[in-house]
Amino acid sequence: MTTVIHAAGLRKEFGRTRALDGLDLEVQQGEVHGFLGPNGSGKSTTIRVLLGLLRADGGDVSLLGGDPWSQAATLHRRLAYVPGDVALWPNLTGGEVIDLLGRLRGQADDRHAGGRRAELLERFDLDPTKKGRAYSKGNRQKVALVAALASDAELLILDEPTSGLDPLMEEVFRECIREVRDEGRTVLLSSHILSEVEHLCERLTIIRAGRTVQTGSLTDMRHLSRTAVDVELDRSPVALESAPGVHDLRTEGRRVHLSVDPDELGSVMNLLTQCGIRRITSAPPSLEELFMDLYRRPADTAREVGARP
Amino acid sequence: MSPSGTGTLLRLALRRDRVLAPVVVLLLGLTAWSTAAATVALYPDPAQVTSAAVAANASPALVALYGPVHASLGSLASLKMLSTGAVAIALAAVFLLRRHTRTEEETGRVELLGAGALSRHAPLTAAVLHTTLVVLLASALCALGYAASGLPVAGSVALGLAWLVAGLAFTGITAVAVQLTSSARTVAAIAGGGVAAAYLLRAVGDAAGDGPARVLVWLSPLGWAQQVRPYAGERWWVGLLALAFTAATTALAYVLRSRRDLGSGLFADRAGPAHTTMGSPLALAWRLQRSAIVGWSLALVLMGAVLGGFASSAATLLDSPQARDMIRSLGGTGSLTDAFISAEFGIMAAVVAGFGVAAALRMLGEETSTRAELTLSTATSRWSWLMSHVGLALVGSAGILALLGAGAAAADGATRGDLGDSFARVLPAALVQVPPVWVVIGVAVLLYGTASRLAVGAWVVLAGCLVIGQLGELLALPTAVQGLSPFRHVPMLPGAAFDPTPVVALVAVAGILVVVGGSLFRRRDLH
Repeated sequence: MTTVIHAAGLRKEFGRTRALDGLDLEVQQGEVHGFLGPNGSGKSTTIRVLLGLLRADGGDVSLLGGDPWSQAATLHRRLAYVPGDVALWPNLTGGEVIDLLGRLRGQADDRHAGGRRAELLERFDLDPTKKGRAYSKGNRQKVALVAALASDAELLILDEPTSGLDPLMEEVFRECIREVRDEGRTVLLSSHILSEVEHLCERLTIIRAGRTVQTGSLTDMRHLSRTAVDVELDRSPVALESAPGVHDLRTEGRRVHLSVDPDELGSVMNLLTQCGIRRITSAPPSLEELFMDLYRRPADTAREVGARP
Repeated sequence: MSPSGTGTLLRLALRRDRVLAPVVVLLLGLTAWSTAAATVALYPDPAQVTSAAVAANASPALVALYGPVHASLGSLASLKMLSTGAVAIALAAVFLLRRHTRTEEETGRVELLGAGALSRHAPLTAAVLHTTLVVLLASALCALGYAASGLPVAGSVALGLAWLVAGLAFTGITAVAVQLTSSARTVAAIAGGGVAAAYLLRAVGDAAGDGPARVLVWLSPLGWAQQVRPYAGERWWVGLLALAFTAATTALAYVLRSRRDLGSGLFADRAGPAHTTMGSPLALAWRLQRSAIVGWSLALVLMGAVLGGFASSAATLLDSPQARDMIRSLGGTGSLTDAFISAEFGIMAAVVAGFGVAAALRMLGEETSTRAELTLSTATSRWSWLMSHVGLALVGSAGILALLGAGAAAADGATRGDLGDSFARVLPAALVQVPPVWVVIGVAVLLYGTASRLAVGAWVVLAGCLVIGQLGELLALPTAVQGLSPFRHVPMLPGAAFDPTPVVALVAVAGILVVVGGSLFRRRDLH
């Protein structure tokens, strides 16, 4: 498999702030790679280095086999980018922007791209005749998404692409990304929401404070998808501490907080049902909780997960 | 109307404009001050005042341009400040009010604040108060300057009032304009068009003399400013008229504001084309700049026609020994007509350089809005992106100057009945101003290429050139300092001999600045 994005020990400083502090990122051809991290962790900075908009202070970086800084314009023919916060020209319509970005990318406007453009506009329910200033945040994002998805770029770089989309559109977006993956194209998808990348990505890179905390396949990170359960019971619970797959148990009288491994969810639920459930809420762990979890463990074990086959 | 949040927003506006507002006030105030001092020095003899006033009023073109002169030194000294000065303060009001209302809505910042405890009308109230404050301070400084030059106090206060009249009236007009459309650019077109219309109404009314069209003056806020009649039997009540107008327009703005949503205009945006044939960074740059270029071209060709139309009569007005000395000190060697054209083109060149800097710094706006990021994530190289914008600024400013020259040549030729000769003399006089304008654009590119935060320094450089050009001689600045302005090095055409050396040198300097700026831009981070 060919490496599409390779970054090792990437460093970038803005004045006294260290935005990237030895970041590693490895994306293989044909994969949808999740790029996770809390706000301000360096996701956008990394992407801007990959696009040649920023020059890294140190470390190795290559993109589609070239140097993203010195060969920016040439490499950009082969990729499409959707920024996290899309700003459009106030007096240009969405349709004009889509056409313009396609042509600037050096893409021939053949019938295939034209048909795909129309189909995407329909699926995303986007009116291409509105002026840039009249679009909401979500619709501006759709304009950039349609422009990127209509292209035949071999690499899509998407920076929090669904932050302005409603759930219905998020589903359309997921379908589109799956299609892109089936065509053998590569996607780098940044997000700060774990559940978003869970649905789409085979492999993930998790970063924090400009460093890669963990990288690997979703299966490797099985433990990341523990479910947090908050439950109120009729009777005080028994035997939860020793039950397999239960973590972070906290008991306040009849109220119990715990997180459960996905494989043991059924048996733990049985245990809880025996105590009589009055009220229950469950949620996938937030990214912040995961980080706290990751940081509680020594750094070397955290890193090793990615190295495991 | 609840004042909730108005005070906070006003403090925010003052803080945002902590540099801009004082610069506007000082620039307007000091220009008035220096004009007063210069004119008073020009006419030491009361008899000259009378003859100059008679000569000025005899030229309909001059009356249309500046309004009638009354037979007093103060009236003569305040002629330009009452006409072009009032336009300047009106434009400042348009700019400031728009900046703190529609521009804020367009960028979505009001939405951010609107989530806090903010009444719907607070942004408008704060912007009106802020603009009023700036206009008031500039007017006060103007009055102070004229009084300090030894002119009658009552007349000086009336001149300040005239400025206030123009500034407040356009504060109200702009307050209405920002409610109409969702685009800040369209607001500028509407309110700026209002200033142009007011100027035109006043010009036509004044040129009509005692004819029935005289009444048009009273339809124009700029006409009201003039009708305060400083130094010629002050009419203080005109101030009340303007105050009533401002109150009425502002009240209308509040009513309109209650009837629209945040971010939208009273008139809905029209749908546009779903496709485009645009496919290059140059095509995009042209699309973004074309309305500005067309607007500037129209304005400057008209300005040229007005200047050319009364170039020969201006000579009569300026025919006093002191005026001759002054023209000569500015470098005019030929006839007074030639010197007049040369001096006016020099001023207009600085104005066109303003267009050039704004056009080049479109890049800054593209970068800060992150639209540049979108464009540069395509196969567009940084160099071609930069050169598209800069090329448009260079070619656009040259074209606009050529149109200024053509307008002036056509009008001058029509007046004198010799078109061929006028074009041969006047058009080169406008074109010779292209190289210094390019140098200023080059400085803007260099600063922007070095770091985006330095780019606004280009305006400071242009203001410096303007000060040197307008006040250098009067302030007796050292030659070395005056030489810093590229406008100082062009041959004073028509009249003077054409020396190609400085022209070629200026073009070379501009080229080097652009290339160095572009190279630096390719090496820096994009923010």
